[in-house]
Amino acid sequence: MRIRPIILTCALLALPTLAAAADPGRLQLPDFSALSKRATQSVDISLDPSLLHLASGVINSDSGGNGAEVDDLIKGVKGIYVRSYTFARAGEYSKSDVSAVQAQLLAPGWQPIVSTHDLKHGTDVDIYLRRHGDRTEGVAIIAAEPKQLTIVNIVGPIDLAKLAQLQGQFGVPKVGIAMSGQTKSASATAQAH
Amino acid sequence: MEADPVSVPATAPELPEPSLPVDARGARGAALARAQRGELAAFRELIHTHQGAVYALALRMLKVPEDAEELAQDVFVSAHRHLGKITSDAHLLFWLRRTVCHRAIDRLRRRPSQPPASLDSAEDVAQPEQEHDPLLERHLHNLVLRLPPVARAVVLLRYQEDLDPPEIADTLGMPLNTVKSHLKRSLALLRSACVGADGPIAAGSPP
Amino acid sequence: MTDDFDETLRRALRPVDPAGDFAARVCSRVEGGAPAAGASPSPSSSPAGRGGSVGQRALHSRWLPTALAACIVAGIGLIHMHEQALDAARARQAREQLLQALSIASDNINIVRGVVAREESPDS
Repeated sequence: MRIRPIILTCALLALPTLAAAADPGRLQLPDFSALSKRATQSVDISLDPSLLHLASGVINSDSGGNGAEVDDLIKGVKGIYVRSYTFARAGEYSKSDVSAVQAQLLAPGWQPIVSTHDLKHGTDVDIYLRRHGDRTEGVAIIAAEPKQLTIVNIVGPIDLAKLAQLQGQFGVPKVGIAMSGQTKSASATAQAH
Repeated sequence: MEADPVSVPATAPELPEPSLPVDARGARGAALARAQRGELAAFRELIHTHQGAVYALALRMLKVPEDAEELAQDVFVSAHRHLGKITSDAHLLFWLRRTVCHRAIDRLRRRPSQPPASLDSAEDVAQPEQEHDPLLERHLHNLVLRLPPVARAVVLLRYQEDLDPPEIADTLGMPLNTVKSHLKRSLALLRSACVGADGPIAAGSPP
Repeated sequence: MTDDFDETLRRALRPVDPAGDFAARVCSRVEGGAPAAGASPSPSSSPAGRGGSVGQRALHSRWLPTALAACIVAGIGLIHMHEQALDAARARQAREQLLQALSIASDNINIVRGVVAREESPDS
């Protein structure tokens, strides 16, 4: 009789591992509700395959070429997850808030492809790719500045160059969550895609 | 948390309060505060206050009443999701104008080019009551609808919403000189076309 | 002349209210219970006269099953429309979130590209 709870507990504990095995490019994002409460602006987006399919259908049904561009860009993408928090003051989040995510990116499979550090403004932007052979399994972006923290995880293959070109299109103004003061004295440690 | 393509800045832009009596400004601010606390009736008041501006912008941009209705509804539904980030009634109005213009321009870019036939339906729905020179006003109204989308948005924000060029630049996210250039060219076209040209007004057509 | 023209243009472009009870339609969507767009239908006309004659009672009993069946079908149709409307609303929300997510990712990639480009520039 006691075996059942043990089996159930083991199954529940194994679920994240199983999910990770199914989608190796997916990060396990921690609960950021504490950060969200302190933030003046929060973005919390979780698009799993079903929601991506739903969104893609809406874009496709619009006439014109831009919907097809987005649809083409996310073809093969299995999930998009964004957590972004803007604070009124510096120091509202700490490195430990991000360490759980960074630890996953140190695991085998994830490769840092570019890392920019602005010592003067305390701004870091790191982009990681997870690859299996020639296939991209995921992209992770961590952008940390004194008053803003942004984490983006794209599960599946995506063309970063085409993604970069999307900025400002679709009548979507460049999102107000933009880095400030990040352009000076930064040093790149690897080539961007 | 839900997100909207048009972000709400963490700090509201420095916006002049609309030219209203103090009581009216206070009442609007109170309605916003109540709506932010979740009172749907208060949000309804805000809709009543701003629906004319939002719908008229949508209608004059999209020219199809059904599309304008859908866009205007979408904008207010989005506004409700982000009420917590709005700091004043002026901020709300800024956000509404910006969102409707950007989304309308986006839709127009994705539409195949349409013949000017739809001007007829726009005429019937959008024409306000005439008090002065009804024929000229009607003609001007139709000419504005024939302007290219971005130029049309600039003219609408200037003459429908009474914004000055720096405010238009903030709303549309474009340089001030670009706004002034659009205004200058569009007004020149409208003035010269007032004598009764037919056909769409192309951006590069001579006055 | 310019002032007259400007004033005429302002009069031509005065705000226009949408038809019907627009606020009610928006609030219905906010509460998640109404179709996405479209003006509300005009109020239904008042019912024709009421009577208690035998003829009307017979008419009533003959048409009642049909009317009930029609109501059930209409009810099922309304539920289906309601679900479709909710699906459409969810799809639109998913689209908005997708576009914002892509914009945020794009912004950050462009920041990095800008930094790398400056680092690689011979003038930097």
